Amino acid sequence: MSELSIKLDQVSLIFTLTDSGPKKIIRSFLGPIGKKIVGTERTFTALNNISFTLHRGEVLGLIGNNGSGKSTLLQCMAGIYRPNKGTVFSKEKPFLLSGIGTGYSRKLTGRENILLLGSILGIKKKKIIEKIPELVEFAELENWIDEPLQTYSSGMNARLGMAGIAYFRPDVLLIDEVLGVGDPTFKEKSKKKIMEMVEEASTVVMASHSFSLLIDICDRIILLEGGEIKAIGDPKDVVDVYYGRKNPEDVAPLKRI
Amino acid sequence: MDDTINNNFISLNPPVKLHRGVLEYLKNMKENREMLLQFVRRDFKIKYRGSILGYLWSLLEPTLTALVYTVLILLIRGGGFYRQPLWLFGGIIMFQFFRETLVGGMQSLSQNRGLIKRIYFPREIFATSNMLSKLIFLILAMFPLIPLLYYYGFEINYNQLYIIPAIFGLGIFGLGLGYLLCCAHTIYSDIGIITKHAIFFLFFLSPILWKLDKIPEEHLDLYLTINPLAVFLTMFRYGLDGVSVPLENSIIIQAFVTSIAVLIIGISIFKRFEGSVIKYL
Repeated sequence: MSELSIKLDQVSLIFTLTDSGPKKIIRSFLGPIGKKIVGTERTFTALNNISFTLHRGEVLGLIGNNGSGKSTLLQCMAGIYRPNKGTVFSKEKPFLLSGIGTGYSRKLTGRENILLLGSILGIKKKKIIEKIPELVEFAELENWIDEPLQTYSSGMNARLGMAGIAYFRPDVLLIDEVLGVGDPTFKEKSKKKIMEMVEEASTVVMASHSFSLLIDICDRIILLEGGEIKAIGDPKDVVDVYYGRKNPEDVAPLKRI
Repeated sequence: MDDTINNNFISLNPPVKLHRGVLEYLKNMKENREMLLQFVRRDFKIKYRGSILGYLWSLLEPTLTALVYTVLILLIRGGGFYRQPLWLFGGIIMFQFFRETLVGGMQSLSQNRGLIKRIYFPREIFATSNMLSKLIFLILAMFPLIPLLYYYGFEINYNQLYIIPAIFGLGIFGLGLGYLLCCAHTIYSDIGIITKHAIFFLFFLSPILWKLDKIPEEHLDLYLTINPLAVFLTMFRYGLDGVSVPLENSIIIQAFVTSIAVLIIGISIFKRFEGSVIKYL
């Protein structure tokens, strides 16, 4: 197996549920004394003591019910949320592709957005400009690339997002339920592109509800439940655990071939 | 298989200690110049996108504001003050620069939610790029000053050089306050509302609609100490006119020291808490 790419070391993330009004004021201004008077904030443990390692070129799937912490885990791995406990170690800057829109600015044109995204990923301007024609062709946006994004349909938006990551090749790619976007032909195309990236040894982590796809392309799957890892290992086994057909202890640690 | 964490690994988004904040800031700005530039371009481009007059608005907007206040002053006082249109306009565009730098810095996290939740990069870039783009707009807004100056008999002398440090000082002060309030504003939106009104109040408390001689002599030093804005505005207005600035050097230096101190404290606090407030976005 190849070199280590990401390591999560006992990562916990706790959200504070904000309540407004007097309680909040007393807590903010009186500190520990205030907390004694009105009680501490209500908190929600989104991730609890998550540890695993990922190697370069590995494809990891994340499954679990809504609210089990899949998206939050991806956001932690991308460095967006700072864990309350534990550390995420990474060799490269991971990029998170989630939902539609992809963090683009609605008022900028497609081309300007691509330039901005490229510069955030640390790519030289000259190289970005070279890539643009190819990228536009992939996203099928030839007539739209110089229009502001607010004129795009949601499918076009998602295609531009997909194209951005497909052509800038972040070394670590985190995907949150985006393969469901676009029309069937584009879906097929983006799946192909992701497979290409996987073969070129990028590390991919993918959260999805389409188990068949995950079993197809993942080396391992993690099943999250209530912010904790319930099972990790062979894709088929973990999906069986999800459906209650198998005990978490019986999961093979690596993909069965 | 080597699973040890060596120096090639970075801890993503590590906590920054209070005293390391400014160093981190300078390092990130240097390393991410290209990104900073792209963000300045973005801010500049989207401001008037979709309007017919476009960048002409950056000239027209302060002109209209100045017009409103000119009428107001004429109504209330029955007459204007010395070179009023020129001084009023100068004060208004400078204050606008200050306000937009501050508010833009304060809202830099909440306004860029989409991008922040997508990829990690130094988030202090937003406030600084916002300040730089607002600086470009300030320079654009200075063009209507030319006919005014011409009308009043323009004379070029070294006093005009005061304009540069005045703009510089105002930018530092506004940016510092923006960084200072940013994290608190991200958690408590009350801060934004309070700040909006405080800025409105400050507009009347600063020599924009009036001249510095309104302040009694014995309180002038105290006033200029607690309001560095007044120092920069006065420097700008007199400098513009080519008249020597009626402020002691010590007062000017003091205003700069205050502004730089605010910026240092602001950046330190921002870097210390920025990682943890993202959860509230």
